[in-house]
Formats: sequence, structure tokens, C-alpha cells
Amino acid sequence: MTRVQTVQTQPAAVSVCGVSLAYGTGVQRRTILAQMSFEVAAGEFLCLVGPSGCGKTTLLRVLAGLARPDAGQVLVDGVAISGPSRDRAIVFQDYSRALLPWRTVAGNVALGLEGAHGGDAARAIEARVAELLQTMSLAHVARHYPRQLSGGMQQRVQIARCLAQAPRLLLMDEPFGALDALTRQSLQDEVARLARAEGKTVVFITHDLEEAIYLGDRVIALAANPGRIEAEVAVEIPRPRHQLETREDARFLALRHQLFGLLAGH
Amino acid sequence: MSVDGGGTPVLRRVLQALRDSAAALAFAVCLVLLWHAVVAARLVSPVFLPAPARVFDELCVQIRDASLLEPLAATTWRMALGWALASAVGIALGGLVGASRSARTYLSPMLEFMRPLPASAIIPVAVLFLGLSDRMSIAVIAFGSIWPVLLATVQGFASTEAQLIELASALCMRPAAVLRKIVLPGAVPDIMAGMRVSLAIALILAVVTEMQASQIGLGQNILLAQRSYRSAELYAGILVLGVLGFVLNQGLALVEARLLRWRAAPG
Ligand SMILES: Nc1ncnc2c1ncn2[C@@H]1O[C@H](COP(=O)(O)OP(=O)(O)O)[C@@H](O)[C@H]1O
Ligand SMILES: [Mg+2]
Repeated sequence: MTRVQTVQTQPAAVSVCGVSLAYGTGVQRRTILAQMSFEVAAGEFLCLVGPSGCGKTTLLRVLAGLARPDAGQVLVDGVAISGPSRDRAIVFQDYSRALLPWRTVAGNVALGLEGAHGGDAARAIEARVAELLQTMSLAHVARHYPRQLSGGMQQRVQIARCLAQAPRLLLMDEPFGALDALTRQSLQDEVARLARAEGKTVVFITHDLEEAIYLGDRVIALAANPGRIEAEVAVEIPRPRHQLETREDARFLALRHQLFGLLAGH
Repeated sequence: MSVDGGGTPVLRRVLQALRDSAAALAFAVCLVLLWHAVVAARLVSPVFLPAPARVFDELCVQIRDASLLEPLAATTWRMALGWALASAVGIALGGLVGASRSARTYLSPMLEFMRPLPASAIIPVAVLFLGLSDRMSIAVIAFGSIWPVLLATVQGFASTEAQLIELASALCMRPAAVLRKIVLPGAVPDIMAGMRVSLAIALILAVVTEMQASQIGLGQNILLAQRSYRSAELYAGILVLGVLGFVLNQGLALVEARLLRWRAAPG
């Protein structure tokens, strides 16, 4: 009998070691990532914040194994990665182009499970999909197509598909950048809750400083041209956090001031 | 966002569809009346244009004595086989050319050379190799009607959303799965549009080839009727061809609507 993996696995620990990457050739050649090194502890929620064009998406693609760095390497639990793995799920920034428009919500979530199981997995997949739809509050739109959903709901579908992969590392590329403030806040809380409940290591990219502090255990600020680490701060605000109180917390405001100066400063 | 929005929108859609059909029917009736008036006023000799009632009678006779059946079946059969062959080869070849850069380099120039060749120009070649046979007709129909579906498939395969390909690699999907789950479904809208154009060409070529090769069929009926000035039979044949084309196109539109219901789903 095939069983869909619901067992909790240990979250992954990641080391980024001297990663450099350039695009283009000749005079067009531009360094996008320059000698980047940092660590992500198992179970940590790490936020990367930086201006648009500083290489955030490129860095996330390197972590996913979708892009190969010119120098340096990424270690997951001490082992260098050589390509994508189902162990690392990525939530793409543009949800409208990251779902299969011809599949229903349930079908899109199932995509994250397909291929991982042999034989008579159909029933197991169905049960797991139902469970994930429940978790992401999507059960009532299971038979809808993506284009019938709002942006927030579409992004929920993408997150559900990623959770379906049962990854140990969740990579998120400005997932809430295009959503309205209220939707963004409720999804922030949901992702924070899920990451803890399901024991995931999360690398979360955003250009919104407040979002980074609100969600992260730690925030790394990036600078552009070439993309590099500018600052790194730990966020010592206990969880669960709250949209109002946390954002008014003195520690929150202090971090905001500190990082704002660094990012907008010079 | 609501599919379960109750009966009102459905009812409205049905009423709208009925109104549309009624409008189309009314226009057709007007045309027939005009035709009748032209004949009644003797503006055209009945040898060239018989009254609609005579054409209709002729049609009824052919249906009653079943003499319509054989040519109708023969034409439809050849057309369907030629079109199916064109679709199968067109989708396979188009998929190859659309998905692979090297296949494009090898095949594209030759395809571009062959595409503008009028299918009627290869009838003599086909007759040479296959004789005045059904196989000859089917080959010509397939050759002539392959281009729309082939080019549409190339387009559909080549325009796969890059983000979805990235998603496929992130999910470690095998190439066969990428093809089946992402590239092919994404190309279906283009493929269906191509197949519809191909269908129309297949019907034209079915008629042309049977006229040239004297094979039983609606085209030959029309040609024979014209040669012996049986004008009612001539127009009855044209009418049947029109209805055949219409029915086939509507059938394909139904299949298309079913395959592409994700596009039509109410927002
Ligand atoms: N495939 C590519 N080829 C060439 N340049 C690229 C490619 N992908 C990204 N870039 C360039 O790299 C820089 C960083 O891009 P990106 O990682 O998307 O930044 P961010 O996500 O921080 O906005 C941009 O200037 C972009 O134009
Ligand atoms: Mg980006």
C-alpha cells in the first residue's frame, strides 16, 4: 500500500557559501550575486529584503537549484545541491502564471503530489489534497479554475501545492507583493502559523521591510549592483505575533529604523 | 467567482442562445424567400437557378430513396480519414518542431517551402503513385489540410509559459510528464483552432479530388448534375455539402468547448 507522506520530517538547514552569479557575456556581463554567504538554521524563518533588481529572485532560484551559480555552492544539511529537489518547494512571485489554468484548484494542488508516489496512489493523493485544501481554506473552491479566483486565493493554491510536496525548505518570492493590505496580512499570519506547525525552514523574499521584520526570525538586507549582503539582524519578538501589537512593539520599531536607514541611507 | 450562482444566469444564457438561433434562422428564411422571389420574377432562367421548392423536393426524393446516402457517406469518410491523418501527423510534427530548436532548424525551411504548394497541384503526383483510388484522395486531403493544424501546433508548443516550465523543473517532472501535463494542455487552444481550419480545407479537397478522380461522392454528384443540366440536383448537392460542413464544424466546436471549459468558466 502506498501512503502519502504526512510524517513530520526534520526541517532543512541551509548554508550558502560564496555564491556568485553573473548574466550576459562580454561588455554586457553583469554580476548579479557577489560572493554571498549566509546560513539558515533548521526551522528558521529567514526574510531577505532588498530593492527591486538586487538579485533576490536570482538568489532564490539558486537555492531552489533552478539556477547554477558561477562560483560557490549551496549546502542543504551539509550536502551540496546539484539541481532542483522535491525537498525544496518554491512559491513564485507571479501566481497568475504559476498555476495550470486548465486544472481546477484541487488539480493544481495534486500536481505537487504527482510523481512522488507509484501505483495506486490516486486515492492517497485525493485524501491529502482534501486535507491541504482544508488547511488553506480552499475547500469551497476546490472545483474552480484559477482564473475564477482572486489573487489572494490563487496564491493560497500555490502555497497548498508547495505544501503538497512535503518540502523541508520553503522558498517564497515576494508572494504577497501584489495583494491588497488586508489579504496580505491574513496570509502573512497563515504562513507564519503553517511554518511553525509543519516545521519548515522558510526563506522568504520581500521588498517590504515591515513584512520582513513581522515574519522573520532574522532579516538579511541586500544591496544592489552587485547583489550582496548589507546587514543582518535577529528579530527577537516572540511568536505568535499580532498585526497590531507587534507592529507597535518598541523592538519592531527599532529594527525598522535601523534597517530603513541602511536600505535607504547612502 | 460563483459557479453556483443559481439558475438566473443559466436561464439568461439559454434565452440568449435561443434568441441568437432565432435571429440566424430568420435571416436564412429571408434569403430563401429572396431566392424564391428572384425565380418567380423570372430574373434568372430556371435552368441555372431552380426554385427553392424544387431543390427541396429533389432533396426529399434523394433522402427517401436513400440515393443520397452513398455519396454522402463516401465524401464524409474520405474527408474524415484525410483530416484525421492530417491532424495526427500535424500535431506530432508540429509538436516536434515547436518543442525542439534543432528540429526547427532541420524541418522549418522544408515546411515553409511545402506549405504554399496548392494541394491541387499534387493531385497528379498522387494519382501517379496511388492511382484513382480512395488512398489517393485521402493522401491529397491530408497533405492539403495538414498546414493549419501543423503551424498552430508549432505555435502552441513554442509559446509554453516559461514560468510553468520552471515549475516543472522545480517539481522534478520527467520530460514525458512535462509534455503531457504542461506543454500539450497549454497548446490545446491553438491546436483546436488549427484543426477547425484544417477541417474546412479537408472538405474542400474531398470534393475537388472526387471531381477529378470520378469517385462516388457529393462532389461528383454536383459535377454530373451540372453536365446534364439537372439544376435541382446540382443545388441539392451544394445544400447538402453546406449542411455537412456546418454540422462538422458545430460538432468540433462542441468538442472544443468541452476541452477548453477552463477558459469559459464564468469569472
Ligand atoms: N535570465 C537572466 N538573464 C539576464 N539577466 C537577468 C536574468 N534574470 C535576471 N536578470 C537580471 O538580474 C538582475 C536581478 O534580477 P532579479 O533576481 O529578478 O532581481 P529582484 O528579484 O531582486 O528584483 C536584474 O537586473 C535582471 O535584469
Ligand atoms: Mg524578483
